[in-house]
Amino acid sequence: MKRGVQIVLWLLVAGFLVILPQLATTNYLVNVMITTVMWIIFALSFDLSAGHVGAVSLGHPVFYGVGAYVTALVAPSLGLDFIGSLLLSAFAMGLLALVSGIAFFRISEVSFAIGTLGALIIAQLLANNAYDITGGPMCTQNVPRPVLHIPGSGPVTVVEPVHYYYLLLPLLGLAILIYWRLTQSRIGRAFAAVRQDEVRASAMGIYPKRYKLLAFIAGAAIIGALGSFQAQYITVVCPSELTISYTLNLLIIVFVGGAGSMRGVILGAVLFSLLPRLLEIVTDVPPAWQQLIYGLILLIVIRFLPEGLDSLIERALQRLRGTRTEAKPDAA
Amino acid sequence: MPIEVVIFIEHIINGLTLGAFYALITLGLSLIFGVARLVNFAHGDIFMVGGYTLFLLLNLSGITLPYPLIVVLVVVVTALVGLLIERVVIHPILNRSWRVQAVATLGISIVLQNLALILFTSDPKQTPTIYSRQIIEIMDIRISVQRLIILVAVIFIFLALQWFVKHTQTGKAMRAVSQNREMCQIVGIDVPRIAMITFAISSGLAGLAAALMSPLFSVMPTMGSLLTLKALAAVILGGLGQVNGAFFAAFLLGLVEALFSGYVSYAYRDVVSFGLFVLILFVRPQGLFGRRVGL
Amino acid sequence: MQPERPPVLQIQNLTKHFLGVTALQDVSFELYEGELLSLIGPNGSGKTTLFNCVTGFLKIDGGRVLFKGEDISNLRPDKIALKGIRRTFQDVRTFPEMTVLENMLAAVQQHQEENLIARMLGTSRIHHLEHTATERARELLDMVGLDNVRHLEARHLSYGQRKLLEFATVLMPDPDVIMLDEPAAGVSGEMVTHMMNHILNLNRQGKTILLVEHNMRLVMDISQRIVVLDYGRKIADGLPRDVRMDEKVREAYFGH
Repeated sequence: MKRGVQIVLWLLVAGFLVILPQLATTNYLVNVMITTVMWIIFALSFDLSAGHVGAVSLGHPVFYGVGAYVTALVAPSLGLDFIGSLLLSAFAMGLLALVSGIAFFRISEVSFAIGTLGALIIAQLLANNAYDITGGPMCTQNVPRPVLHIPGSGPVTVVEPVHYYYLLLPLLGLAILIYWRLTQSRIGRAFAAVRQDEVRASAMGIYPKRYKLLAFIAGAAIIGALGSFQAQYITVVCPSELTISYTLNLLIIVFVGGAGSMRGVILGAVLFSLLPRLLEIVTDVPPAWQQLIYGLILLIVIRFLPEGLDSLIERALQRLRGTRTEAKPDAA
Repeated sequence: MPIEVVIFIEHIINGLTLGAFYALITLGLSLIFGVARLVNFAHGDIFMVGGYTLFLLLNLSGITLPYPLIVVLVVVVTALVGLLIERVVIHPILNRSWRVQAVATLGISIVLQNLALILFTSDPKQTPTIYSRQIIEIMDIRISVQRLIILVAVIFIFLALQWFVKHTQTGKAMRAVSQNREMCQIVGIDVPRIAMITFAISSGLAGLAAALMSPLFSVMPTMGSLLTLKALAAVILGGLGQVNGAFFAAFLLGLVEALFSGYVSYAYRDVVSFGLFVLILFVRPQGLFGRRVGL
Repeated sequence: MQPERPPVLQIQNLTKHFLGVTALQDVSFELYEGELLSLIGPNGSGKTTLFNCVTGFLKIDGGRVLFKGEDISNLRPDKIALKGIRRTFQDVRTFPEMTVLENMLAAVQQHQEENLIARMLGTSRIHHLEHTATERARELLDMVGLDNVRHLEARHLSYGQRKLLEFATVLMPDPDVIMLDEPAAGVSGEMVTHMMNHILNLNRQGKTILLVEHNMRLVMDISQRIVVLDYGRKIADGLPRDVRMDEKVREAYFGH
């Protein structure tokens, strides 16, 4: 019964997301939707390791930016199409996460966070300075757009934002599915064990490194695919895709929304993407003010809502269910 | 003296000054980590606050304050800012995980940088002092007096800190807390108070670095970001929480950076310092001077 | 000590140094099946170090550890745990944000042979395993008197309750050897008796137990054999009453 309700709820959400662009009157609104969905995917992939195994990879955008570069620089020469490029970037980033993870997970949690951040800085500096390969600050231009082969008609090049939106939705579905299956199964319990006490987890036969790697690689593959999407959507890849401000935004989204909670992370990403757009309608807020407000919100949430905004939802839901739980007191 | 030798010595001196500067930033960061197990991502931004304080004090309308007094004032202001941050943000979450605390300091960093952006715009501000243009020449080697001041000041601060930690009540408590926090709580040392004092000292050191170093650079809202990371790299290389190790690692970083940008490539100098950092992490996970700890 | 029983755990010439300081020097003894052996010694005598060496948390510098005849020296802690040696920690370790029941289930997380794919897909076999595990967890929780708080997060438990929970979790996979590091340390008098009774009952059911304790009196009555460590060396090994009379032991403990 309860499972049935859940499925219906998910189907409703999916249906809503499919219909949504039909309500959008301008490309601007569709772009806002695309950005929102991208931030959801970005944040979910980050939260897999930061929120669940406790490995705060401050260099997470590396997988996004390098994933984008892989699609821009390597995929065309291999003659890969949209999905092929996505898979290539996802695979390459998964592999990069495996190799770097084996090295990075030997060091302490603190060193891991700062070491990965160091890696992000290196990646951006390299992208900026290796003109011959990346074009440096001039960016890698003219990334091919996706071409769809629809039976019956010729190949169609995707240009319209709406169509990009529909290409992005399955990626969101996949990200949610992977996140859900990893964190809600017994693996999720091992994740929690590793995060809460690595030593004790080892004493119970759980090998911490395996689970850290699993979360790290899954997150990297997802975000690598998103980087590939971004490259084929904007058709330009710049060193700014490797910026540290992505890391800051991820931290704001995840820690304001609620680390380790899918609902919280999605909520955080939606608020983060939509709030400035909503503010724009009322008044013109300069970026510096926007960031300042985000910073303050982050500090306030950390101080007063340790589990993020998600804890508010949780409390509200519990109040709704209140009567039911009380009617069924714990017999044992 | 042959010109190659002169250039080499000048690079070394540049490296030492840069190292001294990094060391000053690193000292504070390492102290906080040692005492409060706090990774303070806002440390470089407190340095930035010091830079703007210097800028304001140098441009007071009507009065010209002597530079030493300005330095003292900058230190006092940054120490107070640090104290305020500790009281308002850090203190209430002292018992939460290091992750949450680190994210909170990133929040502070976002707030400070954007506040500076709003108040001062992103235009670099120059903060020349009478010493930054003065150059002394010894056997063809030209050094700016400002650089010499930094070198001398850092060595002095390092020795003073050693003395403070060994001979004062508070200093001894700081050392005790960084060695065994639980035990200190049991014996009745007021750990939160020690953490607060450490935060103020550390912020004051960042202010000192700003007052001494900004005249050679310029003051910008983002001047602290990369610096925080380099200093954190030095803290880790030094063996997390080992103040002396971090101090020497910072000098090493400064020397490597100066020599590399002098002889190989200026554009890639930061790639090298961070590359070196990540590489050393892989080879020696416990840092250059750190010991591997057991359970 | 019945000679016909085979040794489950053999510790042979175990040596461990910390930065030049010898923590363990040539320590050897055997743990026989069904035995309740207590490892005692003054603070800093190397008891916990020995625990950490046997369970893989510390690298051994010399000697070896055999489990059922197999060399397990310097294996990874999780591998040793899965072979059937489970331990508790002196400074109580529970997963603070998990409920009591989840803490129990996490103990058999890896116990069943199953692969990652099967777990991701959540096959029905997994559901079955989960069901049996939950039943066993509740039985054990009932035994230590924690079943009524099974939905409470572990961080809300009292210190004594957490000790009991940790004790119960090591029993979850029905291990061959149970290693308890000062299970009575820091708990109230009543709880000490409670805990000691549990340990004794467990041993009567045939469980092999290695107990670390620095309070000699506590273990005198329940142990079948006692090994005494002092400054990282074994100074006595025998029946409780013999050990109590031993000159070297008295010296180590009382300094005369």
